[in-house]
Amino acid sequence: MRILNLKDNPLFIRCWYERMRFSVVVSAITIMVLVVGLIFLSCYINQETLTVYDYYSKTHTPVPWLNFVFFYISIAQGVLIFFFGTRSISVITSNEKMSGTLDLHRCSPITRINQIIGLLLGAPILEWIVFFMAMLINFVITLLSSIKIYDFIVLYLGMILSVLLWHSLIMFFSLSSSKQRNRLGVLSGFILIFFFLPWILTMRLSSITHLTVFPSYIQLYQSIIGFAQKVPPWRSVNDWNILHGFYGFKIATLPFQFMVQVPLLTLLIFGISRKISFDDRPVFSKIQSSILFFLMIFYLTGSIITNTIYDSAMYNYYAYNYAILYVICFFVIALVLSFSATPTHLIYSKGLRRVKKTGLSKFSLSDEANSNLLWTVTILYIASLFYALFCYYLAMPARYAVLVFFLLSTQLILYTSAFEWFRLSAFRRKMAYFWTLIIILWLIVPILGFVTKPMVTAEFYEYYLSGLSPFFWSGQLLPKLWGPVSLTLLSVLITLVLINGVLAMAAVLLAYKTRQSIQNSLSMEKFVYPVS
Amino acid sequence: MIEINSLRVDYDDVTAVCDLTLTIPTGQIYGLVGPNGAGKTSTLKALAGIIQPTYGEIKLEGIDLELHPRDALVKIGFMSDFPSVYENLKLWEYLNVFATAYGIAQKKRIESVRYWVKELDLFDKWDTFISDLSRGMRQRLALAKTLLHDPAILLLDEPASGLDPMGRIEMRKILKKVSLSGKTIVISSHILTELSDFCNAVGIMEKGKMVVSGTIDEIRKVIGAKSELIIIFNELSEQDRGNFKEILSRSPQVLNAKEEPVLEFRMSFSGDNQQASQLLSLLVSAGLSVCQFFIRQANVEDIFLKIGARQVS
Repeated sequence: MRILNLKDNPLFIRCWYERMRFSVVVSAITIMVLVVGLIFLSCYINQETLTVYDYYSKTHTPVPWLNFVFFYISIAQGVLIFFFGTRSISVITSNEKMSGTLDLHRCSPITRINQIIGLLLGAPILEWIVFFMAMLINFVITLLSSIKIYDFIVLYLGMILSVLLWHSLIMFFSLSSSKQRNRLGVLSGFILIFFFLPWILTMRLSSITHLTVFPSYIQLYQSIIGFAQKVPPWRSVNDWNILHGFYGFKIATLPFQFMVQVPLLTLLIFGISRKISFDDRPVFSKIQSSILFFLMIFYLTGSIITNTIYDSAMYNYYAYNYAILYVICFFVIALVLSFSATPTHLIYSKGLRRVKKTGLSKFSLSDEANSNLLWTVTILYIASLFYALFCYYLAMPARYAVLVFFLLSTQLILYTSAFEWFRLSAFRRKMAYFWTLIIILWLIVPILGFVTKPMVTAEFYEYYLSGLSPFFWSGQLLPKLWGPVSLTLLSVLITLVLINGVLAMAAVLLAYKTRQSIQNSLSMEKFVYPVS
Repeated sequence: MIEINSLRVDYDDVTAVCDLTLTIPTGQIYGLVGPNGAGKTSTLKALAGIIQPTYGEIKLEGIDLELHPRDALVKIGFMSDFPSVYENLKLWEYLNVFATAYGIAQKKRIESVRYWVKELDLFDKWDTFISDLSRGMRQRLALAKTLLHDPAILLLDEPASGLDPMGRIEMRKILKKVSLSGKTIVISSHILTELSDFCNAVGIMEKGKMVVSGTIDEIRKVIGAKSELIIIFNELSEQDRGNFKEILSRSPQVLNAKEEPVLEFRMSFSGDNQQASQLLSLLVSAGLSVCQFFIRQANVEDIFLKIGARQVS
């Protein structure tokens, strides 16, 4: 079966039957016609007031009303395909999983990629059809107005790519989180991102921005109203460079979007394929996790380095902001990927039994049942290359850069091994303890340090208490590493590395002992053969 | 033909299937019996490629499921114990989706769907939404989906579960009809009477292990299951009872004769038809008014009970 042969794709056909009922299609098209008609009407009636204010020339310049029609229709399309399309894909994918129909497709000869394409394009099929109808209207407007065909293509290719990435992400979550509490976990993640988003946005990271559809809209907006302005709608050329810079190189919107979105989309498709194949597997293999980590750090470093080049004002005053962002992003990405690649007790023991059955003495390096320690060390090696590059551009003194990297590495090993220990030991059914411990170490203890600080005279007392929380120590320590560093602060840094190092070793040992104990218990297992 | 070699399926703390080795020849109707949690569903799901076994080799019609899943899966039709359906689709749409999944050519899809809808007596529900179908109809629909691509192997997991007595009888009739088609069928159930009628081989599972497996005759021999002889008299005086007991005592094939209820005697019988005929002649010539005389072969239920008494639970 060819990949894009949708008429022979059972999941696409299923979605088509379900979503393309006559009454629903008529309603959707009616609403689209009404919305587009309303946009046309409002722009036509108010064309006298459709002007653009130029901050530099301090003048209002009229803009052709059709340009604004195009702009508003594209906004409505975005809302439709991102919001309603997301809802459809989430509901249909979850239903496939919960009702057991996905199992029926799993035991049919249809390939995984066809299953994914069927759901990805089929679930929001109604939204896509309305989207393309509106796009046709915008194409006609493009021919009739001053909007360039090139901008039309950039907008829609960028938008379609972003939609596919976003829909894949939602599909991935819907397939990964079958339990209610997992869904709540995902929701909490989104809420957390929402709180951190304003801060991340102030960092103006080009690669993060290009993971979204916004650069396409910015490009479009410039195309629609730009001609009416004496200078581009950017406050400075610098802003444009920051938005499109990557390791100091300038890349146009569409290639930049393809560069950051296509690899992630590919990895997501791999993840979805794994979840569709067998539900109990980790979402990514160790190699896929490493690639994903590499990509994220590659993107992040490229944007930060660009900012240090083009945004000298921001860099000179707030270089540590980038360092904090880097450390936190590094830690969060590495930890999330590490946790997701950590084998469960079941996967580990299954792997051991397989190894035992095949007569091998140990796991292969890429075996997903293997311990996570090796994976962690691998990503730390990858990370160290980018980290070195990053420190060079941020002009962080080498000795402090090394200490910070050690601190970060030991913490990563500590939490990865602790998580592995929890997952493999008898505590695996009491993961709440692990998360409680994390909250205590990352939040309660550092806050306790701040609260009790007035009672203690020792300098940097609170740093010791926040030493196990990367979110706190990075915020406290990093700003002080540019400029003269006192001996006391240096000793604090070294002590924190030692504390975290010892704890990391203890966690590694615990995880190792637990693995040994599982191996011993399985070696005692007797195999029973059938009576007949 | 199904070949299973050292199949093991593990869940977190439970070994659902433990080193199962089994061969089911082409055309055999194999009943997988066992209490809930015995590992029947896990075995069937592993055969259908739905769950990944810990290890083990599965060959379907000689094709390795792990190495060539697409080629192997096209050979099977799997029906789960709970009918997984698309509530918002019409009956024919649902079947058309799966006809597409199994690669039936576009021109033949509707033809094939129509054939199985008629076969399973669902034609008057052709355009009905699945959400409006009863449980029994959904089960039949699920069976139609399973048979749609004419698979060589059928894996039926408790096909009559959740059905009322009428529904069960209907389902049994359909399955009997299907069983005549020469397909290899593996059917699991914990309700033994469901399997008694049409299985020619059974495997009894318990706690993930296959306790006994083979054709019913083979198992009878392995476990020494004897046939039951039932004799019912019209009337029986004290003298007749004495004569009857004496005749039985002279027949070494008869063991453990018990009167239950009055005038009805049940006993183990290890002889053949000729010996049974001789015994009947003796009873009649002794003037005993034999009303009914028949031998009941040990069926799946008896075998299960016999095994259960010895090994299971």
